[in-house]
Parts: sequence; C-alpha cells; structure tokens
Amino acid sequence: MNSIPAVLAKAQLKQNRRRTLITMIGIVLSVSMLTAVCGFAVSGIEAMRSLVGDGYIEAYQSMFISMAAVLGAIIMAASVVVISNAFRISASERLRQFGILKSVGATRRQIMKTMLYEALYLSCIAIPLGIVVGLLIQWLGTSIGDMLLAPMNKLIVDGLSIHMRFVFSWASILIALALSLGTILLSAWLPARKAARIPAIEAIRLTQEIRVRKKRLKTSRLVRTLFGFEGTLAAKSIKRSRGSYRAMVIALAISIILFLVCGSMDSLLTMTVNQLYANIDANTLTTFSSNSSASEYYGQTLGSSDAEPITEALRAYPDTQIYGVGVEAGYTLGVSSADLTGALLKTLDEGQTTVGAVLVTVDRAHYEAICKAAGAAVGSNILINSAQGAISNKSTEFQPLRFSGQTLTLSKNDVSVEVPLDAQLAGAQVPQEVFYSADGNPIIVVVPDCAPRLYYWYGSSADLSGFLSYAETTMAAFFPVAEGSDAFVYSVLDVSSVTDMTRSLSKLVTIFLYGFVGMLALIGLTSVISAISTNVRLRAREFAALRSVGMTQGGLRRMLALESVMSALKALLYGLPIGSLAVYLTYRALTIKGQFQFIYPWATLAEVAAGVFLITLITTQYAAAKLRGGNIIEAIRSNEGI
Amino acid sequence: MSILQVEDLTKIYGKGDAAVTALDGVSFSVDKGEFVAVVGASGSGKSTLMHLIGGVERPTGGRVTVDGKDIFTLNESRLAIFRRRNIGLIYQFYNLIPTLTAEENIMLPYLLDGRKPDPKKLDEILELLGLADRREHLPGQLSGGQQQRVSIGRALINDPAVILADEPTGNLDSHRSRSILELLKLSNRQFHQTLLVITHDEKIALQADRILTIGDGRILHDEAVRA
Repeated sequence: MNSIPAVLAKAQLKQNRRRTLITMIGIVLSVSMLTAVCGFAVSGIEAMRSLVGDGYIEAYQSMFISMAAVLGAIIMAASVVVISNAFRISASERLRQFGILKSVGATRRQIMKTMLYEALYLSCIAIPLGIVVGLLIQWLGTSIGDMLLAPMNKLIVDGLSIHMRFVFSWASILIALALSLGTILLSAWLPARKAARIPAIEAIRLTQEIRVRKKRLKTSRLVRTLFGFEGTLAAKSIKRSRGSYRAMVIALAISIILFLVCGSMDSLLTMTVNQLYANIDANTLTTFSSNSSASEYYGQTLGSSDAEPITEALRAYPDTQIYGVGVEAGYTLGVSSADLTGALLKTLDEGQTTVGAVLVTVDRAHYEAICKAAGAAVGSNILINSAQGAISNKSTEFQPLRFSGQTLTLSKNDVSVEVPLDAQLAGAQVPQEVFYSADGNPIIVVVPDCAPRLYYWYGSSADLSGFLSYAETTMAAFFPVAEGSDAFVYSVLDVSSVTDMTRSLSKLVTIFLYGFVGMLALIGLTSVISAISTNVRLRAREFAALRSVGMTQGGLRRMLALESVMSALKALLYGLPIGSLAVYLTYRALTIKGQFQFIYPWATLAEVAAGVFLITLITTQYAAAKLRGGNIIEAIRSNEGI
Repeated sequence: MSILQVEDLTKIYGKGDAAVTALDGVSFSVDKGEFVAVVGASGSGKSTLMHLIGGVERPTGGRVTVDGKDIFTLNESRLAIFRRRNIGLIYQFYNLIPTLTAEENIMLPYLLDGRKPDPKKLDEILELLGLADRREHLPGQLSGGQQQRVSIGRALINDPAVILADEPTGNLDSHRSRSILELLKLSNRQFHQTLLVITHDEKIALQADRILTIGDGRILHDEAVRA
C-alpha cells in the first residue's frame, strides 16, 4: 500500500482538508441515498408481504425493485456528475505535479492510480459512514411511513394489517456498497483518464488549464448594458472555464427538473385525494346492498316505503343530517337515440352502442326539495342532466341529454321501460349525493319510487363515533344476519377515515419524493461550493492581474457574484423547459385519459426559482468570503514555487 | 564512446501558416562523462532540444539515441520507464512534489519503479548535496538553493546515462548559482556523469568541456573549451 501513487493520494487529501471534507460529504450523501433506496425497497416488499402473503409477493417485489432501480440510476448519474467534478478539480490542481511525475518517469497508469487511490481512501471513510446514515434515513423513513399508514389499518378487515418496518438486509447493503464503490471509482476514473493523457510537457508548462481558446468570445451587448464591464468579464470566464461551471449548472438544472416533477406529482396526488367524496358534505356513509348472492337478502329491493323508516331511524340520532339515495342500476339507452347530445357522443369509446342509465329514489324530504328546485309537482320524474367525462382529453362537465319533456325509452335485460321526464336539474342545482351515487352513469332520473338494490345514507353527524355505533345497531335491527355469515349486506363507513388514509398516503409519497430530491440537491450544493472555492484559488493569478490594472476589490466581488448569477440563470434556462416537458410527461403517464386537466405547477416553479437564487446568493457570499480571506499576491507566489 | 546521439532532430509547432520551426535538423553526439553547455538566445530552441532529449516531447523528425536505445521507438509507458532509469532532469523551477519530503523527492525515480535505492547511495548523495539534516523537510520548508539541490539529487539517484539541466541556476542568486554549478561539476567528476546544461549564462558555459551554440533551431557553433 505504500506505493508512490498511494503516498501522493494521501498527501493530496491532507493538503486540501476542506475540499476533502466537502467531497466526502458529497460521497456520504450519495452513498446514504443509495443505501436508503435499497433499504426502502426491502422494507416496502416486507410491508406488502405482511399484507398479501408470500403467494402474491412476486409482483410487488419486481415493482419495488424496478422503482429502486430507477431512483438508484438517477442518484448514480447525479453523483457521478458531482463527485467527478470534485476529482476533476483535484486533478487540475495537481496537473503540474503530474507533469513533474511524468518527466521523472511516471507512466499513465501510475498517474491514474494516484487519483484512484484518492477515491479509495475517501471511500474507506465515506462509504461506511454513508451506509450508517442511509440506514438511519431508512429507519426514520419507515417509522414515518408506518405512522402515516396507521389510518389504513382501521379500514382493513379480516385481521390483516400493513406495517412498514425497518428491515436490515445484508443483501441490500452489499448492493448499495457495490453501487457506491462503482459510482465513486467511475467518478475518479473519468477525470483521471483525462489528466493522465495530458503530455508531460504541457503539464509542466501548465498551459492546459489556463489555455484560452483562440476564437474570440462574443458576449452580448445586453450583458454589458445589464451588468457592466464586470458582467462582460464574468460571462467570458464562464464560457472559458466551462468545466467547473458546467457541473454547477448541471447539478442545479437536475434539481430544478426533479423539483418541478415532484411538485406536479404532488398536486396530482392531492387532486386524486380531493376527488374522493370531494363535494359531499358527509362524514359517514351507511350502505345497504342486496347484490351478493351469498346473502340472505339477495335480490331484495328497498323501495321508498321500505327505505323511509330506516332513514327516519338514522335521522333520529341527535345533531345528524341524513341524505338517503337508492339506486336501481342496469338500464341502458341506445347511442342512436336522438335524445343524446353531441357532447355525450364525444365521450364514447369506439364501438360503444349503449350508455348506462340509473333510476334513483331519494328520501322523502330531499325528494320534495328536488321537485321544488326543478319547479315540478311532487311525484314528477326529474332528469339529473349532468355528467362528467373526457372531451378531447379534458375532463369536462356537460349535459348528456337534450331535454324537451320527452319520454325516455330505457331497456334493462332486454325489456323496455318508458320513463316520462317532467323536469330537469342541471349544473349547480344537481345534488352531489345523487350524482355521486350514480357511479359514473351519465343518465340519471330521480323517480318517486323504484326498486333499488343499493341504498346509500350519507350522514353528517356532530357525534361521529356515537353515530357510527348507533348506525351499526340500527342496520343490524333492520337486517338481522345469521351468525357466521360473511356475505355483504350493509356497512357503516367513517368517510373521514378514508380521506384521511388517502391523504396520509399521498403525504407519505410527497415526503419521500421531496426528501429524495432535497438530498440530490444537497449533493449538488457540495459540488457548487467546492467548485467555487477552488475556482477562486486557481484564478488567483487572473485576479491579481485585474487588481494590478486597477480593478477594485468590490469590482472583483461583483464579477464573482455575476458569475454565480449567470450560471444560475443558465441552470434555469436549461432546467425550466426540460422540467416543464418532464412535468407534462408525468401528467400523461400518471393520469387516465381526461381524469384531470393539465395544471402547470406554477407555485413549485416560483419556489424553485427562489431556491436557485438563494443558493446563488449563498455561494456568492461564500466566494466573496474566500476572496477576502486570502492575500492574492501571496497566492501567486505560492503557485510559482511549486 | 558516445552515450547520446542526436540525428537530424526537427520539431515544428503548429500547422500551415502558423507553423513555427523550433528545431531544424540538429545533429550532434555526446561522449560518456562529457560536460556540454548548450547556449543560445531565448527562443533559439534550446529548451525544445532538452525536452526532446528528455523524451517528454516527441519530435517532428529525427532520432535521439540514449545509451544505444532509440528512445522514440518506445511507446509512452516504456519511454516513461526508460526515462526514470536512464535520464535525469533538472529544471529552472525545481519541479519538486510539494507533498513529499526532500528524501522522498530524491528517491522518486526509484519509488516509481517500486524499488528502494541503496541506502548507502542515498546517504552519499544527501551528504554531497549538504541535505543530510533536511531529509524530512517538505519543499515549502526549504530555500530555493536547497530545493534545487533536491532536484539535482533526484537526477543523480538512478545513475542516469545523461543528466539534462535547463537553466538550473536561472532562479538563484550568484552565490547559490556557483555552489549549484560546483555540485554539478563534482557529480560530473565523481560519478563520471554525462551532463548537458542549457544556459544563457556565459560564466556557466565556460565551465563546461564543450559549448554548443544554438540559434534559429540550428547549431551555430560546436567548440571545445580550453580549461
């Protein structure tokens, strides 16, 4: 281990302690993320195993593994960009040293080895540390996940439950270790190969890094008028020393893209959650169904006269509103019917010949209210003329029928039924309870009485838990069930627990997404900081030249600040369009045709832009502090003596 | 016996209109144990000559034979290995590795070979260079003259066929220059080292056995110095 490359690598690490530390932090972060992603995959698989059992786990296993693979690939790509930048800086600092080594007879392999040893030494400390941090993240993440999954367990019956636990798996740690080592060695190998290729004579003359491309650089007049002469200089030096700024721009741009995608996924999730029971002002849902052939009530219908006593009984609980809706489903209307509007026809799938229709009966009080709203006498058939569907990929609310007081001819099981329509309700007048109960059937007619095999009581009670048990006993009294029967007859559901569960699920996903992207951004930040601090050192000669022709310290600071601002703008220039495209693609991938309208995450955009400028501000301050810290003339002298 | 042979050596930088001929068909040979000074105005091509002989740069045409080996027939890594075993380079700006001690810098050609030098030989060189009490110092802790002595030690350690020195005293005051020159002459006599020194300092040149004068990429004079 005491070969000369090893000795030189160790010396280089000790030489520039701060950069070593920052590089190490970058490596620790990326290793910890790789470990955490592998760990989450294992924890996720185990959580699903506890829910679905060994028999069905395979499908979930491959799902979790491919998810982890995608995230891992993103992390590795970002890490290679960032870590190799750190090594590139380390190599460029030692270019002259490499030249000396070559002139006294070091081979390319030996030069490359000094860089690879540097990576190995860093890995020796950073990888174990990263794995420990990664396990901590996994533990923290699974604990939060388990907490957020708790409301779900209330809903799952049959004694099953889902728990997210911290799972320690050697296999996943070994995979993370191998991936991390590969990432780091690749990151060191890329710049090492380049450094080793530079001819000895060039390295000794040290012309490579400060060689200026012969072509005259154009900087726009706009930059000059906006930022002054310092701005022009800043723009030129960004264009010339591409390398160190490129990594910064890439790191920032990747963060911007990922944050935008996260923002849009977050809002899509929120919309999905909000769609559930969105417009219904109820916290409980009591359901009767005679659709199960195993149940002793199979095929029993609940007409108005049968349902009304139940509605009354439920309504008897203090401080409780009940909206009862019975649904007789299974009707169809041929698409050739002249009653259908063009809007409805546009929503049909190819080859569709009929559209669904339901007859609905509601409890007496609400039926009277509907008739009154429609301006019809009690006993009328009221068309609920409102439906929702995708028209040219946009979710739209529209009127499915052309209403003219006509009689609809619906069919059910090849039997035609005439339903005369007396009045209609449309738009905001449509009671959401009725609309929701129709379960997506576009044609809904409220009739005084029909034969529903499904009946919903939407309850809104001040005493939620009291009402839940009251409703349970009430339903049990109306529909006694033989002991041991597990057929579905009725259920009492806490609506808020369903929305709670979906909300916490979406919160879980959001936390993981933002955590992931935040860590990536942090890795990027370490590269930005090390790029800037080295930049100031490497350019000491240039700064001194500028000072000697009379540029003030303030002017230098301004120039550095403008360099940061311009690279931030550049990152936004790349990040925003690519990010927006990615947002749109995410939307297309995650939503069913026409489910939601495409919404651009403007709020996230504003946050991202603010974040980028905040980072820029911090780095600028950092660079300015660096500039103040060192005497430039001294820096030049120390460079000379090497 | 000739240890270094330069035949029709040509180096052209750039292409087309921008082409600059740094060396134009230079030929000469140096015998073992000879001390040759190469003089010329700046831009005459003397540094290029040294880099070519040292094998850190490849010529446009011509041949360099060191100790019977045509060095440009070697591939890059073989040339590097040949260099660390057969050629010693001394630069104006010392070119030491700042993170290695004086002793390690001197041993560098051996360390790159994965070998340890004979400790007696190392002690002898350190003694000769007056660095015996400085072996653990880093270059930054040494004076300019001491750093140059370290780089001379690095050139001497592997008994090279040829030592090439490019303005070895260019960065030192006259007192230190003289002592460095004495050292080079001493090594020339004591170890029978072949020495090729590039300089524009006439006083140094007059200490040599022979002076090669270069101008516009050609040898203008090649004359022996009468001691």
